[in-house]
Amino acid sequence: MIKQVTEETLENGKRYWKSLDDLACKPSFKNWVEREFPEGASMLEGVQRRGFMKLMAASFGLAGLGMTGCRRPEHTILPYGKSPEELIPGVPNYYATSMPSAQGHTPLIVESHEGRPTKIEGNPSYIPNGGGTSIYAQASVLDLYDPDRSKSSLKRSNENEDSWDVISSDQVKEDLVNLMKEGKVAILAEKSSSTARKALSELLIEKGVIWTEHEAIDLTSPEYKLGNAIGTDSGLRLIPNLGKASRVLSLDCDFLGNREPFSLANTRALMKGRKVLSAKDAKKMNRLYSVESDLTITGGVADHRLRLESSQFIAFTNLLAAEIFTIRKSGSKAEITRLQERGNVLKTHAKWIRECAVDLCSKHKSSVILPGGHLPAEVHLLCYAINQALGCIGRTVQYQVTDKPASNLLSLQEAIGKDNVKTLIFLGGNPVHNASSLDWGNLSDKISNKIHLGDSVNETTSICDYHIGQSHYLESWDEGETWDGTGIVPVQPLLAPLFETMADLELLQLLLGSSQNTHDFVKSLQEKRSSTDSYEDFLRLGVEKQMPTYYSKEIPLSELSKYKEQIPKPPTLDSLEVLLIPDFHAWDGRYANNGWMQECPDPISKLTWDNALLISPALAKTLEEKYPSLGLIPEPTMLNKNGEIAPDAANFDHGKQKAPIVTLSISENQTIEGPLYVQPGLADCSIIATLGLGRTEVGRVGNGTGYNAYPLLGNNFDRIVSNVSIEPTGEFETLANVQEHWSMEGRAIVREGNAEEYISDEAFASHMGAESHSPKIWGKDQEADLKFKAQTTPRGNSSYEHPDHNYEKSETPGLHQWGMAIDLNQCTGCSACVVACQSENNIPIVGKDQVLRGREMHWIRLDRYFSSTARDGAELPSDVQVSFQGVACMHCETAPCETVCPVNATVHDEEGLNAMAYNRCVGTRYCANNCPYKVRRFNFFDWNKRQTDELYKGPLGKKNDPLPDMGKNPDVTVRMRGVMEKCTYCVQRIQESKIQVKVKAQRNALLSTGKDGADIELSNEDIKVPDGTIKTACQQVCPSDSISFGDLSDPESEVSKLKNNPRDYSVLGYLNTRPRTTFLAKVRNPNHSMPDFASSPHAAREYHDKAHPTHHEEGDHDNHAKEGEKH
Amino acid sequence: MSSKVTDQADVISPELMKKVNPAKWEEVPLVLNKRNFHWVTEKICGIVEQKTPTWWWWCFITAMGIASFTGLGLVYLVSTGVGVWGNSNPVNWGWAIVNFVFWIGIGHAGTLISAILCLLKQKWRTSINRASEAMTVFAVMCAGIFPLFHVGRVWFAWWLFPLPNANAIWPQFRSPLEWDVFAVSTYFTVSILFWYMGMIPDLAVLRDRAKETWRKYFYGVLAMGWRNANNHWRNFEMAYLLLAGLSTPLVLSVHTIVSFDFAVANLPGWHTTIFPPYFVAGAIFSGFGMVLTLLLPLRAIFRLHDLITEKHIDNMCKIILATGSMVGYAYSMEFFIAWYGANSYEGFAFINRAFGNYWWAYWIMVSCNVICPQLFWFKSIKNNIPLVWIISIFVNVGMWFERFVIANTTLSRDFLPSSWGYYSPTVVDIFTFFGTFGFFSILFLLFLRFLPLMPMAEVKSVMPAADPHGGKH
Repeated sequence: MIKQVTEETLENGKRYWKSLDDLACKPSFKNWVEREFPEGASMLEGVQRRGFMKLMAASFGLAGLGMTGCRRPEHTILPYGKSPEELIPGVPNYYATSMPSAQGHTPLIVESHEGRPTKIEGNPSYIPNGGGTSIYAQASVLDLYDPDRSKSSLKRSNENEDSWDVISSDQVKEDLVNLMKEGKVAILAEKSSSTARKALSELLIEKGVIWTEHEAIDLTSPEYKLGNAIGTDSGLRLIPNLGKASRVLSLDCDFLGNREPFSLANTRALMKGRKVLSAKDAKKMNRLYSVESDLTITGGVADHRLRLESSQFIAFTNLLAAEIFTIRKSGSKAEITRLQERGNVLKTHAKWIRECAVDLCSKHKSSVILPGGHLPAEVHLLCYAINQALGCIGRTVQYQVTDKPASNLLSLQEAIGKDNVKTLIFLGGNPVHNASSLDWGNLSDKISNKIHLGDSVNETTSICDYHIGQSHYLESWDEGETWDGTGIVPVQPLLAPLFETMADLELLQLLLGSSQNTHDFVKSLQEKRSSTDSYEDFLRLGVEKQMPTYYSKEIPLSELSKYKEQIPKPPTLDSLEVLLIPDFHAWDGRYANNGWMQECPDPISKLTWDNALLISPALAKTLEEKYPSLGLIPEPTMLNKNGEIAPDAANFDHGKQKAPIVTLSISENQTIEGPLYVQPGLADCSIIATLGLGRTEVGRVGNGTGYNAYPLLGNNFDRIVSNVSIEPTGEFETLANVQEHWSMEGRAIVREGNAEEYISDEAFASHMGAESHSPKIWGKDQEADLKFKAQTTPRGNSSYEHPDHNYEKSETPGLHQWGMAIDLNQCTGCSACVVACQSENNIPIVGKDQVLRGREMHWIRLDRYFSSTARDGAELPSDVQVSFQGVACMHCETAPCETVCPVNATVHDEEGLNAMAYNRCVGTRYCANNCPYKVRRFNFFDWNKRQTDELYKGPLGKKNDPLPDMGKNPDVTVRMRGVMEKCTYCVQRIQESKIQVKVKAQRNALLSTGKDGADIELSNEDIKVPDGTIKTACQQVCPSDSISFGDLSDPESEVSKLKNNPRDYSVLGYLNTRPRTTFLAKVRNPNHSMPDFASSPHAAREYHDKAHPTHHEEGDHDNHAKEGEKH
Repeated sequence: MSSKVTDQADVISPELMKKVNPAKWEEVPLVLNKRNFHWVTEKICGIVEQKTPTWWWWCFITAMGIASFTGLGLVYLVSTGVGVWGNSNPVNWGWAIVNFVFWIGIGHAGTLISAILCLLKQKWRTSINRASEAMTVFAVMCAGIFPLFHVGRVWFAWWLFPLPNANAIWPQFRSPLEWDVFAVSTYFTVSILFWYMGMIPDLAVLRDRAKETWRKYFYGVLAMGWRNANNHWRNFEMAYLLLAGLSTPLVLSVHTIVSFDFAVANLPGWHTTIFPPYFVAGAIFSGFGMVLTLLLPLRAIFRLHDLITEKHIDNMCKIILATGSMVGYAYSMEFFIAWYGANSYEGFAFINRAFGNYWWAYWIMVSCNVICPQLFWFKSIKNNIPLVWIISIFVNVGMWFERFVIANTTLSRDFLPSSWGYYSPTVVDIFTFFGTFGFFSILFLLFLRFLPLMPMAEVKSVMPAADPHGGKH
C-alpha cells in the first residue's frame, strides 16, 4: 500500500508532504522499494538541529527525574548552557529499566553516553537472568535509532486516498478524544506483560471499550490450554526451576532458545547443572533428553536426542506417561493400557521411551518434563500428570496461576460483525500481516476509523487511515511483570522521545481522558502497591519482588481419558507436516528491520538475511530422486566419496548457497513459496518454516528478506500444519550462509568427552590434537604454573629465539595479564554474544550481498559443527550432535598475525593484548591470512560511511544516515575502509576499569595521607583491578556464564582457576601460537541404557578415527577414548 | 671446445681415432649465414631507425587500450575499496598476489640470462639477453603494481619503507612483505642498471648513426659519452662482470623471498621449506617461457633467423625442460613430505589441492608445467617453432595457475572447517590483470622502437670475425 502511495505521490509532486515523512517522496525511498538487497540500518534524513534543540530543552527539564538530560549530536559541538546533574562528559551513566514484551519484561541496565543509550545489559538484581540478556534485548537499542521508525503521526489525506498527511501530536490528541466521545471503540493490542497497561485496559473496559489482544506466536497459549484441560478458568503457566533438575525431558520444547519464554533463566539454571570442574561435578551433572522435530539449540545441548515429527507428540507423551505411571505405580492398569494404546504408533521408539522413563523415574522429584508451547492440550495435561507422578511439582517445576486471557481476535471479529465497532485502534503489533487468515479487507470496510499505533509503518498501517508513531521503550514510562511473576520491573526512559511519537500508555490515558502523564501514573501504581520501598528505589534497583500464586492440585489420572479423538497419523514423505516457528532474525516479524538481527547468523542453520524451509536429509533425498533438477544436495566430490571430507549439506556454487524455491500448499489458497535448506538433525517428514520474514511493508533493512510463512497459519493459529504437499517452482535463490562446511573433519577443534570418560581422565582434552603427540611445547616447563606460562616464552624445540615476553624484565611491566576461558560445556549457541559485541564495538553490518562474499564483520562468531555416527562416504547424516564454539581473537602470545604485518600495525601490549592500531594499518591483509583461527575482519568498503547497496559506487555512493551513529559507543573507534579489525577483549572496558581503580586508589590515598593521590606513589596492589570488575561484552551478556575473563597473573582469578582446570585446552595448540583464549572441553552425559548410547561423543570418535586410523578395526569405536589416554 | 679436443686427438693418434670413429661434432655458429659485423649493425640499428611500421602502431594502440583496463581498474579500486576485488575472508589475497608472483617470476629469465649465463661464459646468451633484460624490467614493473595496490589504504603504502619519522615507528622487519619491498626494489634497481649499462656501447652506435637532431640528443645523452675507447671498454667489461656477479645472487634471492610470503606463514600447504628452490626453479621456468613467447614472433617479424638461431631456441627449450622437471619434482615431493610429515592438516592441504574445490586449477597447472615441457625431449618438437611457441604459452599459463593454486587452495580451506570458503575473482580482478599485459606490451613496444634489441657489440664478439685466431689457436 505504502509503495503505491509513494509512486502516486512521486507523480503528483510533493504537495502533501511536510518534513519527516517526506521519506515517501524521496527518490531514495523508491530506490529501496525496488532494490534487490537491503542495506544497513543506517539512514534517515538527519536529526534536525531545530528539533534537537527542542529535545534538549525538554530533556533538561526532565533531568531531575532520573533522566540523563540531553544527547549530543555527532557533528556539532553544543556546550551545555547549564550542565545537567550527575553528568560527567565522557563517563557513561547507567539506568535500570526493562524491555517490555509478551514474554515478560526483561530487567535491564542501559548504558547512556551523554543522554544517548548505547548498550543494553541485563539487570543482575533479577536473579533468574543473572545479568544476561536475550539477543533481541541486545539488538533493541538499534531500533531506537532506526531511520525507518515512525517519526510523527500520519493521516490519510482527505483529497487523495493514497497519500498521507503529517499531523501534529496535538491534533492526534484532539482526534482521539473526539473518537472516544463517539463511542464504539475497540482496541486490538499486542500482548504485553505490562501491569500499567493492564490497569488502564481495565478502566477502558469499564468505559465500554472492547479490549482484545492478539499475538501471532502466543507464548501464553499453553497456560490456557492447560488451565482449560484441568478445568480452572485461569491460566497455569509452567515455570521450570531447572537449577534443581537432574533429569530434563524436553518435548519439542526449545526452552533454551527463542521459541519458548523464560529461556534466559532456563539457560542459566540448566547450564549451571552442567558446569563440571571436577569429577565430583561430573557425577552430579544433569542430563537432558530432547525429543523434537526441528534441530534447536536445546537439542544441541541434549545428551540424547530423538527426532520426531511434531504431530506425533500426542502419541509419544501417551506412551511416555504409560511407562512412567507403570514405574511410579500410579494409575490403574486400565488407564495405563489406554495410554499405551494411544501411543501405539510409536512402538519403534519404545526402547528409547522406556529407558528415558526409567532414568527420569530414578531421579524422581528432581526430573522434569517440558512440553513445547505449540503442542496440543492433551500433551500439556499429560505432562502435568507426569510431572505430578514424578513428584516434581513444587520442586523443579511450578505452575503459576495467571489471569484470565483477554478476549481474542475472534471476539473482535464477532463484534465487528455485529457493528459494535466504529473505531478500531491497533495498539502496536501487526495483526494484518500475522493474522492473515482473517478477511481484513471485509472487516475494515465495516469500521469507519482505523487507527494504528506502531513503531513503524507496516502492513497493518496499510488498512488504516491513521498512523500514530509509537515511542521506543527507551523513550517511555511503564512497568510490567517478569515471566515468572516474581518481579515487577519499571520501564524507565533513557531519553525524551527522539521524534513526535507516543507511548501506548499515553494513548490509553488520552482515551480515558486523563491528564496524568505516564510517569506520574506509573509512580502512583508503584506507591499503591508498596508502602516500604520508595519509587526512587524501585527505579534504582529495577526490580520489585512479588509472590505469585502457584497451582498444585493433584489431578486424577482419569481426567486423561477424556481425550478420545484419533491420534494424528504419522506424516510420510508424501504427506508432510510443517512446523511454524518464530524466525531467529525477526521473531514474529518485529525485528525484521533490525540490521544486527538480520545479519546475526541463525545458530543452527547459520543463515543471515533470510529464512528457509528446512528439510531433513531423508526428505531431500526423496525430493532429489523425484526432481533431479533441484540440485538440493551437491554431487559428491572425490574427497567426499573417499571420506576425506564430509559432503556439503547444500549446493554451494562458487561458495554461494544455491537453494531451490518450492511451493508448499495445504489448500489452494494456503500456499507459500520459499527456498529449501537441508538441515541434518530434522525429523524425516517435518518441514520447518519460520514466521516473521518476507514482510511487504517494512523498512530498508527488512525489505526483500526471506519469505512469508504466515499464510500457512490458519484461523486457530495452530503452528503444526499437516498434509502439506511440496512442489518445486524451478527457481533458485542464493542464501547467505556464513558457514559452508558443517563437519569438524575429525580435527580436535571442539574437544568432547562423556562424563564417564571425564571422571576416569579429567585431562582427556589434552590427549587430543596434534600437540598430544608432538614434542612438548613447554619442554621441561610443561608442568609450570599458569602465571609462568603466560608470561614467559618457551624455548622448546625452536631454534629461533622468540622475542622475550618476560614482562617483569621489560621497562613497562604489565600489571595484569589478560586472558579468557570459554567453557564449551556451558555454551548453548544462543548467539547473544555476537550481537552484544556488535553493539559494544560499533561493528557495522554489511548486507546480504557482502555476507555472500564472505565479508561479514562480526568479531565473535559462533562456529557450529555437526558430528554423527560413522557415515557412509558421501551420505548426509540424519542424527547429529551439535557442537558450538565461540571464536574471537585469541590474543596469541606468539601471534602469527604480528610477525607478518609489515608496518607494525598489530602488536602485543605489555598486558598480553594483541593490539590493533587502526591508524597504522595499511591493509595488506597478511595478518588475516596468517591467522589460523580466521578471526580478523577487513573493511573491504567504507561500511560505516556508505549505504550497503551503494558500496560499489565508491565516492559517488550515497552516505549513510547519521541517526544510527547516535547509538555508537563513543569509547570505540569507528573504523574506516582499508583497515583490519578484530576482537580487542573490549579494551575500552579494561581501560575504564583501570582508570576507575586508580582514581579510587588516589582518593583513598588522599583520605588516609592527606596528600593528593597524584603526589604519592601508588603500589601495584592498589591499582590492580580486582577480579570480576571487567566483563567483556560477550561475557556480560552470556546467560550461562560460559565466558570468563580476567587476569592470568592472579592465581586466584576465576579465569586462572579455569585455565588450570584439566579440561582446558588451546585450539590448534600444536602451532604454538599460545592463545590467551582457551577452551574448556565439552562434556556430554549420556545414559548407558539408551539405544543411541555411544561411549564417546561423535566428535571425539571422528577425531580418533582420523588421528589413529590404523589402531582399530571397523565397528570398534568404543576403544578410542582409551587409546586417547595412552598418548 | 670439444671439436678442438677432437682435432688434437686426431693429430696425436690418428689410428686410434680411425678405430673409434667418433661422430663428427658440428660446431653450430651463433650467427648463421656467415654474416659480417656490418650486417649485424645494420640489422639491429635498422629496427630502430626505420620508419615506424604500421603494425607497430596497431599494436601500440591496442596495448594502450588494454592497459587502460588496469588504469581504470586501479582508479576504481582506490576510490572505492578493495572490496571491488573478489578477496574475502578466508581468502584475503586473491588474484593480486597471484599476479604479483606471476610477473615477478617472469622477471627472472632476463637476469639469469645476462648474469648467470654470462658468468658461465655461455656465449649463446648474447643475442637474447637484451630483450630478456627488458622483459625483466617491464615484468617487475607490472609485478610491482599488485602488492602496491592490493593494500587497503594505498595512500599509506609508503609506510613500508623505513623512513625516519617523528613517531619513531619503523616497518616490521620480521614480515616477509617487508623483505619483499627490499628484495624487489633491489632487484629492480640492479636489473635496470645492468640493462642500461649493457646498452651503452649500442646506444653510442645509434648516436653515431643518428641523422635527426632529437636522436642525436636522445642517444647522445643516453650513451653517456661513450667513445669506444680502450679504457672505456676495459671499465665496461669489469663493471659488467661485477654487475653480473651482483645480480646472480639476486636471481636466487628475489624469488626465495617471494616464496617466503607463503613459507613463513603457518598455513598448511604454505609452511614448507621446499618453497625457495621450487619457486626459483619455477621462476626461471616461467621466465624462459616468456622469453620464447616474446622472441619467437620478433624473430619472424624482424627476420632475425641468423641471430636467434635454432640453437638458441633449442637451448632455451632444454632449460625449460630442466626447470619444468624440477618443478614437477617439487610438486611430487610436496605430496611425499605431507604424507611423511604425518601432520593431518598438511596432508589434507595437498589432497585438497589435487582433488578439492580447485582441482581443475591444480590439473591445469600439472598439465602445463609438468607434462607439456616433457615434449621437449623430442628434437622434432624443439625444432617446430610454432609448437615451441604454443608450449611456451602453456608454460606461462601453467605458472600462473601454480601461483593461483598455492595461494588459494590453502587459504580457502585451512585449519578450521567453519571458516572454509571459496574465492572467485570479480570482473575488476580479471580486467586489472588483463590490463597489465597491455602495460607490459606498451613498454616492450617502446623498447623495440627506441632501443637496440640486441647487444651488437656482444653479438659481434661471438662471431668468428671477432676471433683473431679464426677459432684456431
